[in-house]
Amino acid sequence: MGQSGYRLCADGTFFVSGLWHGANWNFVVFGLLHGVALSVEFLLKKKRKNWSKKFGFYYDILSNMATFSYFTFSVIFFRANSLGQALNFLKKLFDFSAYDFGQLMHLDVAFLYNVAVGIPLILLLVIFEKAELNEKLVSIFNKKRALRFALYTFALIQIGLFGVFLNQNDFIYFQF
Amino acid sequence: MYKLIKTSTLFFITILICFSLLDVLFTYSFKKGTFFKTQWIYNLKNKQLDYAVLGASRSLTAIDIGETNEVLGLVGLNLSLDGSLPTSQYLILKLFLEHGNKIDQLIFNVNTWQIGIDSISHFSYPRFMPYAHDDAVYDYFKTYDDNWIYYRYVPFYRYAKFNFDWGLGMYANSVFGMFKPNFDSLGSFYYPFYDYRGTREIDDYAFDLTGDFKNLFKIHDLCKQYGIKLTVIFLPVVNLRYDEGYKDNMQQFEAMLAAKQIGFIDYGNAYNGQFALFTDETHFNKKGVKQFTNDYFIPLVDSLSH
Repeated sequence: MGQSGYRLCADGTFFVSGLWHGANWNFVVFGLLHGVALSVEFLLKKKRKNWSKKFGFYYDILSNMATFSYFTFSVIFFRANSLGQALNFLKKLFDFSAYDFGQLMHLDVAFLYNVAVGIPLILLLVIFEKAELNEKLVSIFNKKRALRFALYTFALIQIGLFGVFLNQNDFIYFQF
Repeated sequence: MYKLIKTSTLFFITILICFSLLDVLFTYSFKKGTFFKTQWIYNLKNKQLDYAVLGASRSLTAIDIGETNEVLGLVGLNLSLDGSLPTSQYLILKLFLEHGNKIDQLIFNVNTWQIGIDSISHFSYPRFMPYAHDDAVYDYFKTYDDNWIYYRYVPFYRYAKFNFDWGLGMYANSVFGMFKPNFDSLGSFYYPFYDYRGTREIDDYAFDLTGDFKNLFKIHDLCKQYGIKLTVIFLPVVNLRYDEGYKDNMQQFEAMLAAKQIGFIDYGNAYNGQFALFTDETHFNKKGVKQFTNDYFIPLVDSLSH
């Protein structure tokens, strides 16, 4: 299969998987965004290898951030009730008027908590993902029960501190 | 199999110890904190008050307690809880009195649309979580919700479930005092804006007189027990349909309270239609607070204290 075939398949698959989430234009856009991302990734395969060799760690960090940002952007279309709502959300996102900035000054504890906690947790995920690729670390983890216990306990405490246990219907898969 | 059971048991005990320690640590800090109104009231001990105000957000935001105290030379506090129903208002008064505090006059604002409800409001419900081991709180909430058994006996469960209110952020706030509470040193909060944001449609504010008003009378019994004179009020609203039906309804309610020797004053119509004094249908802005305090509240407290 040539490059065009691969891209067509990727776009088609994600278009269908988008529709699987719901018969709405926002899900179509969500699926297409993922299809396009995969196609671009495929097209830049050789270049990305070169960039990775050239810039190493910095490239990894930047590509992680770009992937995360792009995914988060796509989730706007996934979570919105309609395409119009998603576009309105994007419009508001880039509205830096005085009123919205003023609102920032009155954020309550729960909102600040989200911001203060969300960023370190994302960094923690990146660290764990990297550690998982290190065979030596994985081997130590498998051999040391105390370490496993400590990490599992840590993970459970994180769930206790940051999990969502109220209004579980808000979690999208519980709506199906 | 034996190894699996042993490892699982060991892991379970490890988890239990960790969550128990976290529970103790969080509870210790939250009990010392004063960020939420419940925490602030819970920590007040052995106060001698000439008067106190009780109710929900309307009474929390309607009265300038500082000015009243200054003008009359009295000591008063606002014990109102935002978003609360008479159930939580009864409990917070009970806790306040059990902690050695004394009140001469209690001015209790009733909301006509809430007075008959006998449940815990979604909003004020989590505010009592750190006190799940306090028998007075536990016994009270358990009658409304069996989940309180888990909140009391499963370590950290209540803080995990309500982690938006009682999570790491609030723990850090209790330890470092990063955020100030949104009420002043006398327990009042005033809306920081002057524009009217409610509807201008006229509404009925009648009492449903068919209920048993269980919590109102429990508050009354509590007042009798502690020698407090109770006065019930209905604070002003801006979009009141002030007709014969309303007047008749208020008279019936007043007669019902009078039978139990409880005083009732209806201020519902005092500023009807004066949108410049309100922030929404039922809450004053700062201008309204000043006017109501001077026109009605100071004279009321003055007359009650003589």
